[in-house]
Amino acid sequence: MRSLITALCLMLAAPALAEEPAAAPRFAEQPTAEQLLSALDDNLTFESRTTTIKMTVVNPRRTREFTMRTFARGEDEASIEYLSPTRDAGTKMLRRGDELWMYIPNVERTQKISGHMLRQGMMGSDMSYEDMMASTEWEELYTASVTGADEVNGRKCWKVELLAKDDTVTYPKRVSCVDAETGIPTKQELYALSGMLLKTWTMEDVKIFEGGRRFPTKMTISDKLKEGTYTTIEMSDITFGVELEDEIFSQRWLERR
Amino acid sequence: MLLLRLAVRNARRNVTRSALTAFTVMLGTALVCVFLSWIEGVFGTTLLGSTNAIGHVRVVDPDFAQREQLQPMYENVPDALAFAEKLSSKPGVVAAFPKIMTGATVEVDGTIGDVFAPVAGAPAAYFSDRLDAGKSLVDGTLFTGKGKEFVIGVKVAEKAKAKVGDELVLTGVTQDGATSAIIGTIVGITSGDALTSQQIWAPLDEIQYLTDLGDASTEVLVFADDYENGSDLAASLRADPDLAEYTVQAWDEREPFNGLMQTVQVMKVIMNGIMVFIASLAIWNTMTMSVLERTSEIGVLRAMGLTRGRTVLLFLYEAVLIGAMGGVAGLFLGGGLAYYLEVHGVELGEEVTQNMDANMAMSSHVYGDVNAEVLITAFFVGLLMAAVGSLVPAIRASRVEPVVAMRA
Repeated sequence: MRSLITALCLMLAAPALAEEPAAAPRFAEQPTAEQLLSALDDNLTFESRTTTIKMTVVNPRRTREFTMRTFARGEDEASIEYLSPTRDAGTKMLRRGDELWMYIPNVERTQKISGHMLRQGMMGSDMSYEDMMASTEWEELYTASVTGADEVNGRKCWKVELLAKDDTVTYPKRVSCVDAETGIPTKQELYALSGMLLKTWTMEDVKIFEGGRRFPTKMTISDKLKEGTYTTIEMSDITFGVELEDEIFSQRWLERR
Repeated sequence: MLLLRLAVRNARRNVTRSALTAFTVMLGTALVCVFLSWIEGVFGTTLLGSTNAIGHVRVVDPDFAQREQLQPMYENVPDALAFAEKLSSKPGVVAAFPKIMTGATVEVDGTIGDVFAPVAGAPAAYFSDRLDAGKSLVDGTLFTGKGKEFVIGVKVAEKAKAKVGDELVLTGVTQDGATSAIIGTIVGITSGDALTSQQIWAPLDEIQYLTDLGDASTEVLVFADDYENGSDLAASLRADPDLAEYTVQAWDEREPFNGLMQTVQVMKVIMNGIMVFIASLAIWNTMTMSVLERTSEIGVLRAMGLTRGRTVLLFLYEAVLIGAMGGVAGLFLGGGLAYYLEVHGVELGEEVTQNMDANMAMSSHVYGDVNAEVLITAFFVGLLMAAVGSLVPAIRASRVEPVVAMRA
């Protein structure tokens, strides 16, 4: 399984070929945790992709919409360019491995984001920079177990509980519900070490892409520590397997107008 | 009058002992005097500086006041400059300034997130008139009005390895929590108390952009002619219909000053209590000896009709007489020391004050403050020492049976 930003990029990549898949359930019987995690990998792994994202950040006071173009290559390289609103247009972000840079056009500077800044929401959304950076090598980081069947939006899913092998991961416990048919984690609950629910993360509008890849094109993230907020991410113009120039993943690209 | 004459005579019987007792009271009174003047001076100076920074009164959105620790910048005062202008014309208001306090990371070698500083955005007049920023400048100037400018505290400059003339990028968050940045030139570096050493000052419009607040500010600071009139001004503004939708707070109704005022009062009471206790022991000793030495005499006086109550009064008079002498001497000694502190002060060192809470504008050179209240309090504490210390021996004397006493 790749990083969240990779997943986000994947959602943007590859032309959608069909709406909800009508195939026979992939996991009619209770699968093992390994099988489920493997299915996630199959769906969300990619070589490269480009996509356009509409991010809507809703809080009790106002709703803001951002449009961005994203590019990703493998699991370690990703870049984002904000297209709107005007205040944020031209802002660019680059992730390479464990490092994250941001170019802010009004100060014409590229800055590496580190320390406490990583815990801030990306553009005030419910998704933090740390979420973007978090490794999703779940098989490595967590001990997974399938705890039974459940239902999300009327669709059968298998509940997987992931407990961190060490306390340094952002979310020591995750409870995911993996769609029995598509192998997509349609709902995730992210917990703190204390057991407090920190975030919920849902994935929907699963479409089938080239090669049979099933991919969610809409995500909703809700930070439970903020009152009445949620962020939706809707992807369009998704293209997988495109040739991307090295420059797109360089600091030079960040500062290019 | 007879009792008073007897008390004077008794006090003069053993001059050495009475002098030693008076000396103890003198030391106690002097210590109380110095302590109170020191507290008055330090606290008064700190309050003056701090209230100039936070306003004698402030006007905020009620939700902002309730959840201030979470910095809910979206709960703000719209059209803040015009609102402050309007407030300036209210009775009792000397000045009003919109202000935004936020936090930002300072760029160091292109990396953000390492050096963090509180940032104050306000009109330039606030920094020059209220914070007397010119005095704390150690390099450069205050805002020149020529563009995007920052004045930064010396501690921030040290951490960011920044100097006057450098370009500084502040990265903070908008009212919605989105990352935001502004760039400007460092025109001045300030040093002194925690406020001038740890903060970054910027023009209001720059911080309005950084926080995406438009023309709003998180608070409007209002100033009376003296910070001690803050409560009265707040009461008058609260009654003003124009401010009905806002929360109006005097400086002493806000953290940390509301709790601090009580703490200082408790400190004063404890210190006075300790002094009374120590000096009372000395008085108690003197009076006990006096009672033991004069048992026969007390017996005669009691046989001649001196009531128990008047016997108690006799010893109280003696103690208060000695206490008064010691107290007056203590006022000269303590008052002299306190006056020295008021004139010359004590240098605590900037290392101490620069690292204090940034809300506390405590100067590195602090002065005492001798005033009538301090002197009167110290003198009466001296008398109290004498009265408390003499009470037990006086009661003991009043219980002497005349026949037994005369036999002894």
